[in-house]
Amino acid sequence: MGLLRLLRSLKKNEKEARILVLGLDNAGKTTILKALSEEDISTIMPTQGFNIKALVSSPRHTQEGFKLNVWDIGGQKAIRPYWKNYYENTDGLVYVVDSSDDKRLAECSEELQSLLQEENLQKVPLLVFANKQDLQFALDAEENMDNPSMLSCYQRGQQLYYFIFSLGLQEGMEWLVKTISEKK
Amino acid sequence: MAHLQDKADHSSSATSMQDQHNQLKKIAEGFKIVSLKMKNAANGQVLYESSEWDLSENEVKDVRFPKEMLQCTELSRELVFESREAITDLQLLQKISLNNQEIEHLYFKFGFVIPNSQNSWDQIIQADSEGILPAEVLSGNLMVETLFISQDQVINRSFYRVFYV
Repeated sequence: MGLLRLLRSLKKNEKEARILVLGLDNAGKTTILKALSEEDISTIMPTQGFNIKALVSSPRHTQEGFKLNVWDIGGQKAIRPYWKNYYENTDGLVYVVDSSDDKRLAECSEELQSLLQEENLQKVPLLVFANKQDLQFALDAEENMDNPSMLSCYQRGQQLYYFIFSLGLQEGMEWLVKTISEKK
Repeated sequence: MAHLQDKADHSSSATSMQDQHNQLKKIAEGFKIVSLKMKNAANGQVLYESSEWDLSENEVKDVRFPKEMLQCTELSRELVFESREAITDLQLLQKISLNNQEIEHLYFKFGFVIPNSQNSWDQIIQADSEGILPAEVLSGNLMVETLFISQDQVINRSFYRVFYV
């Protein structure tokens, strides 16, 4: 039992935040994760589980330095039923949308809406990232918003939300970290 | 009657302990470190890479890291692992000791692991602002004990002696 006691005492961590990155397969979740630390994004394979990136946010954006654990979970249909195992203790949610995939926009918004029903994700700040805006046939971010089923989940009221237009990953993450640190 | 009841409870808990033991064994057999990479977090340069990370428990193994690693202010460590079985609550505990004295420990909770999954964990390790001990002091005297834990059961425990070359 000595081991267990040690684990418990270690769990009292200082300022840490857990960010969950979800979205359909091929939306670009892992690319975003890698881009956060300016890593090479040329050889990314479909995620068959999770990828975690532990980062220390610079004090420039928050009062003090903040330790971030960003979790990207695979988005393939077979993996989605396991998403629920990762909701607990989430401080921020990033939902990545492939703007060039108009065929799956309905599926994409269905998944988002079911996420917003989750008990453990209530009151968690949400960042929706309209990815792949640079592709030729991409719906623009406003068009994504206009999609009636997409829109309905933003009108839920209490949920703190944010919508990001096109290429502002940095800006979006800064907003998310700032919102989380104000809540903590 | 009460006595019989006790007896029944006892035997069922013995069975569940056996089940737990078997399950743990299955988890351990299906658990594999795919790769370990150490990178300079400032420029992404790979300083160390290994795809054969032996998790067998019986002996202390040696690992050789390049000296330059000690000069990085931020080091990124990427661990990729596979699991055949689902794991309810995976945790990692690492104890680092210098000349048999524990100087640091690191704990991380992964939580649930998807069956047949490959997962990665990339962590930024910041150098102590007071500076790092020279390679000559650390090399060969630094021991890293790594435990992978499921709930409160050890999946495996390995010991590595670190050399800086």
